[in-house]
Amino acid sequence: MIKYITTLFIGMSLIAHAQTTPWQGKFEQLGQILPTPNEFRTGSGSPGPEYWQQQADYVITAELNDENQSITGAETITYHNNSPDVLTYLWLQLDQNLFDAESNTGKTNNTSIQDSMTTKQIAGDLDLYDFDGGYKIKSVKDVNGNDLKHFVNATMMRVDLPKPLKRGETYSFKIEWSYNINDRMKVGGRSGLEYFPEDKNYVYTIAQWFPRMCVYDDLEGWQHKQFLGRSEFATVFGNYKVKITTPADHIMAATGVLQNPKDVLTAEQIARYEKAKTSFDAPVIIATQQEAIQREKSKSKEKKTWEFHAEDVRDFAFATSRKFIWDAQAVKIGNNTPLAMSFYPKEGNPLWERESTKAVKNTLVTYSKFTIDYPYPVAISVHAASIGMEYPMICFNFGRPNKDGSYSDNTKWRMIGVIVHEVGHNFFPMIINNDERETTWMDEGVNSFVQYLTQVENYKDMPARRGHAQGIVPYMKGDKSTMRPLMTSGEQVVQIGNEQYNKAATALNILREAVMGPELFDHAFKEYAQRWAFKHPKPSDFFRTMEDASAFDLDWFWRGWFYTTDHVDVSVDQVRWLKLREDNQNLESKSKKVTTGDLASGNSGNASKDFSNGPEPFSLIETDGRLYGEFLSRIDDKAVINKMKGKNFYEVTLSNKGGLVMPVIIQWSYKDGTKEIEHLPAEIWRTNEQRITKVFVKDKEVSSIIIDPLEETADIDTHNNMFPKVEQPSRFDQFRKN
Amino acid sequence: MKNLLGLILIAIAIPSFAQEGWNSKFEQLGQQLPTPNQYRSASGAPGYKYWQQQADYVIDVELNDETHMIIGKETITYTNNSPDQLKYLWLQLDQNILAEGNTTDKIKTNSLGENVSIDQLQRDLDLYGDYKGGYTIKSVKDLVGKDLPNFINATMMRVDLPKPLKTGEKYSFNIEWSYPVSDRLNEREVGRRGGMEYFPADDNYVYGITHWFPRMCVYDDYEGWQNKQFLGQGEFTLSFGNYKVSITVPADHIVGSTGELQNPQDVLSKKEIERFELAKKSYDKPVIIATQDEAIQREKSKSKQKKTWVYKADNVRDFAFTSSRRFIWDAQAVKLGGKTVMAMSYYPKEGNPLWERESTKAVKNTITTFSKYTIDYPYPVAISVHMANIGMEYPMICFNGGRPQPDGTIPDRTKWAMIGVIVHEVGHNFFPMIINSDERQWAWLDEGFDTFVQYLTQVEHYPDMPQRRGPAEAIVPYMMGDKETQRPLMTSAENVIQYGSEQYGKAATALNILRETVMGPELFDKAFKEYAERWAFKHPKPADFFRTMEDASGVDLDWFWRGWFYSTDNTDVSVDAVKWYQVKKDETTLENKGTMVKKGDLATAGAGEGHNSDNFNDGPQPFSVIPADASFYGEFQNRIDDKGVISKLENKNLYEITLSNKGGLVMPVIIEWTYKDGTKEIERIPAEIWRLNENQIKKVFVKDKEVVNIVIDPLKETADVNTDDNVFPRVKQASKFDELRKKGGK
Repeated sequence: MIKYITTLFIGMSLIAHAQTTPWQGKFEQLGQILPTPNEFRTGSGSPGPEYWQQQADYVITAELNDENQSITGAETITYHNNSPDVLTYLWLQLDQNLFDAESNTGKTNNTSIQDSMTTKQIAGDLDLYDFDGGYKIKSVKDVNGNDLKHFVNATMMRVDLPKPLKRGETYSFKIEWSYNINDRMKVGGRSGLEYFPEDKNYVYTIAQWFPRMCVYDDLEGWQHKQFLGRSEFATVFGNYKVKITTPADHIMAATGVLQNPKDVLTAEQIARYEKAKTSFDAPVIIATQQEAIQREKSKSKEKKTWEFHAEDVRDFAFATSRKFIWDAQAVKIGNNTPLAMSFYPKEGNPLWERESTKAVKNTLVTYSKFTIDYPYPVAISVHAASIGMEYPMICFNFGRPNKDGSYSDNTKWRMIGVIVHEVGHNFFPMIINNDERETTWMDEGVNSFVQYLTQVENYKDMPARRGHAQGIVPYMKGDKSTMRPLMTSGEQVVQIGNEQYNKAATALNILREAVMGPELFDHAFKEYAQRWAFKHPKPSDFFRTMEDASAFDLDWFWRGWFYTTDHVDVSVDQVRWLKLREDNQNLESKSKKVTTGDLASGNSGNASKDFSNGPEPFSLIETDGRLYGEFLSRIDDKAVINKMKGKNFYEVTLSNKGGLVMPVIIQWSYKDGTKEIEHLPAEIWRTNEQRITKVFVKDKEVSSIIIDPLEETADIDTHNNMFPKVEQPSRFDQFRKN
Repeated sequence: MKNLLGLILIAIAIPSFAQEGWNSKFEQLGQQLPTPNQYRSASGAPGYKYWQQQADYVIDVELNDETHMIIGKETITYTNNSPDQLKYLWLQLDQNILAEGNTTDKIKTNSLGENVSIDQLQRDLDLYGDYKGGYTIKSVKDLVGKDLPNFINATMMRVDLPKPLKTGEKYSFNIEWSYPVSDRLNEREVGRRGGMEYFPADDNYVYGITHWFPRMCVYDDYEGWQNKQFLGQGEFTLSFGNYKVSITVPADHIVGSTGELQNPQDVLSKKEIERFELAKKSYDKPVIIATQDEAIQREKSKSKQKKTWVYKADNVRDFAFTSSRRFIWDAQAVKLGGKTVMAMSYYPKEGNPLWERESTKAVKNTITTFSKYTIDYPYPVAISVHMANIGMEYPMICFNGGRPQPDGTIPDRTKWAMIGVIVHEVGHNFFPMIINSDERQWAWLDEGFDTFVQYLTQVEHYPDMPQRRGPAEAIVPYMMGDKETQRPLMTSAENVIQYGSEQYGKAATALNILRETVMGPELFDKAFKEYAERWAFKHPKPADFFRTMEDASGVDLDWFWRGWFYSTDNTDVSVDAVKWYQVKKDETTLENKGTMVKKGDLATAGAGEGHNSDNFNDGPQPFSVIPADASFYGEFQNRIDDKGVISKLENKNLYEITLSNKGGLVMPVIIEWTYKDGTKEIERIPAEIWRLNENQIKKVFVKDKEVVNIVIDPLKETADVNTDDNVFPRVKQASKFDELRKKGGK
């Protein structure tokens, strides 16, 4: 009994909440929901006068062992303490420990048993692969070879400094490590190996492969939240010098610029490479498919060492294989001419040679327009099965034709989509370097949004999956119990794709098209990119910059779309059609007033479902002297009445059923067949967030009204957006029609 | 009617919130913590522009044993290290809490029962006869004797400065005052932190003189002036400074005090000086400096002469002293790091034989263990003074209860309570005297922390002592209690109802659980020590603690702070279901890849729906593992070894456990498996298992052996308020009637 009452009240309290506390502060400033601006981050959303960020430079020597699929490496990290704080210890990320047998990811994942399960599913759920994963840290030493005290806590390692590191000081230390490379087909992972049984070769896509510095910043201190597999990375900018040794018949792609082509490429390859640097129209194939097939068979026991340098990057990844075909072309972006390149096994062709490098180029061009000119010397797309994963200058992408080389449109569009997305990640988060561990939408959502713009611009026939308002409706009308606001840390999100990618991208697109308009939005968005390129922005920096650069108070928009799971559902509750009564008596006889209810009694049945009853009459009366207050001047009553004579008045009542306040877009269809669209800003809801009434004056008679006619607001129920209501065909009717 | 409905809804809306799906239990605290800035860094350390004020005092005071008056004058030198200009200063007039018309009495609520004790009525209605407490401020003057404008607002006094005090400037001024010392027996609860205790047998007093001079308020980067009125419960917020204090008392008194005695030759006998010197080298046991026989002599002497004891104390946040004819005094040396600290006790003969045996030893044990977990005790002395019915702390000195029966016998309970209070109050030297938190606002930052390290100290030195606060299990009765009077730990001291259970007990237990069950001692101790080192001789805030613990450990604890410090949720994990499975031994599926087990197949096989899930009696349910078809591999051309996977599961026992979170707190899941062969295994799963579903989780475990019994939290580490539902199969609980009958039968 007691339980019954409680549940009853829960149900009621929600409703009661909506009805009895109509005001929820939807237009209030975010205030203390955002961090207080200070000298590190200003109230305008830009870096403050004392803004600082750390730097970590790496010199790495590593070998990839193709026999036992392992990496062995040694690195010297030089850490620059630009913070005003004194540091007594440093934190590093040991991402590979995700694959450690004692990993918290396995311990904390939720699993259950069904009637029948596939081997792959249960082997993944219960970790039945016996993979000996995780870092083996051989040593942590100072530059003189003395051991440094350190402590490994799962995927994080604390290194205690021999003496405190003060502001402006640098500290160098060395780490030696090794780990076994994971088979992505089995244990998954953002990087790893793919085995090709036919020719018994591997494609390695290697990332999170060296102990990396955590970010230490003004708002979080050390960002050393454990890596559980989903929420990605927070890393600092720095310069890299990396030497990687592989079998001699491998071709390697990596973050940065190859320093020793003479040691690792043939004369022919070097010649093609040079040619590619001036080929702006089409890619030049540097390593051909024929050559790749030869290398597949050679299984060289010799070794080669590839050296890459990269500056101002937040990470370093590489891919290497006997199987790689390699093409490249030059792209003109401002004063830069980066090389767009692709590396793929023959299994990717003919799709990859046709589309990959082109997609890289399209991405760089469009993103540069909306953000900043692509600043790095190369941008690479590598083909690896069933993945899309981004690193600075390099990314790993799926999209594989059938065995006979044929491929569906769907395969092609998905492949182009993932390349645009992952190459786009160069901008978010590689350059505009947000904290991925905490805030997913700042890179995934913002990137999906510019991906959408890129696809619309370069691939007109491509079905746009994420970005347009209508596309988010199925999610927005779904069950709220698994929904999380965008401002939720990635690890706690259930519908990560729908929310952190799709809802965020759609919100930005709606903001651009329906709220701000492209001109204001694009300027503000570019300002954000420019302010925070090569820096670490936080959500508040984005929110504040978008307002700062546009003079658009958007706190209501951030509140609704980023801090709640509300949706858009505007309903046309009522439309009244009125006309001025053709009766001048009132004006002559000053004392006579229309009594309340006069209108109603005149045409009481008119609060109706359509316009068939004709207009309700209403009267205008002369303004009483008291209404002028102290003013001695008077308005011309007759002129006003003349102006309104014969006009159609439409009193529209709208209610907000979904919670989100949004601009009201009304399409008027007139009796003469013409249409007109009116845009009213969201602030129309500011004093009553639930229900508004507004009068419109029209010369022509209106035959129908539609709210959000172009479906720009992601209104989840458009049936109630119309007046007169259109009878919806029942499912049976629809079925019969089909 | 509408209104009424509204009220009901408000009342229930709060609990119902906890039942809705998702409550952000793992979200970062974000803006619930202040934004880091140049004063306090995001790491939880003092920022690069961190500053704090300093207040130095030179005081002359006389304790009049006839009139029980304190008469004093002081020169305060205030150093403005803040970047702000100050036009006025605020001082604390704590004694005004005993003045007529004080706010504390006015806002006290009370009622009458059928029988009311005189003591209760006296306290409720303030029936203390002629005692008129509170400060008489004779003058507030600058150094050349000019009056300074000032304004007294209850327990706070504003002194207006003749010109603004800029960054880095100092200002000195003089105050003269007096007040009547309160009788702690007859005085209001709030006055009992200091005052006098009267001994009718020999007509003498023991004085504990505390908050006895106008003291500077704290001005900081976060609160500005901390001038929240003293109402009695929320304690003190004080700046560090150096003190030179001259205390004039009857010549036959013994004085114990904050700081070091500067003039032993003026106030001690030759013998006492010799013994004192001896004590400085006695590391094994205390040396009695003033004996019981001498104390009994002094009780009778009632000298009309006076003596002045001069003390100096550097870098302390307060100053207190004790004085009496009746004192016995012992002391011993304690080696800490490279330094020697004097552990001392002062007590009337009524404390013996308990005090001569246990007090100084407890002081020594406390500073030794606390130093290990925080920083080396930095002061030259640590004193425990015996006064009735109290435990109250000041820098280097504290006042403690624990009195044997009149015949000198000592019940165990008295001994443990006395040792407990001494460890606690001496421990307060670290929290808040050195790691100087704002007690007026946050009680748990000193009381909770101190109680936690008190627990560690007691476990280390007194293994037989019953531990009242610290073990997870001991907080359960509170945690399962009525939420109506419960307040989150992050509640200001004055607004807390269950002060002891929460700000002391719950906070200490939370830290202990954090140490033992969440982080492990190695990570916790390093982080806790880091906090102590960072904030020793500074003013930390809760956020500085929360942040430092994470910064130094690499453990995201926001979920823990949210649950234990920001809510009144409790731990109550329930084993909702355990299902036992084995892989169906049916080769056909593997050979004949086309056939799949249909949905519902299991059910018809005789298991499924009808299967008894209250226990393991029906044996394992079969389930099928079938090869993954190509669609599971995406673009991969390689395949896994289906047979290998299946063979790995053959004859294994799979247990699918469903747990629900009934109490609200998300906590690590600790599972004890008891196998058929009698062996046991304990598995530990981090709290993050709840991160996607805070209310119910399912997880499958693979075991070689058959399981007969599962217990969640077998060692009672998580303060689970209902352990009946932690067990599978459930053990039938004896009804109250059964229990009663059982007892009766005995």
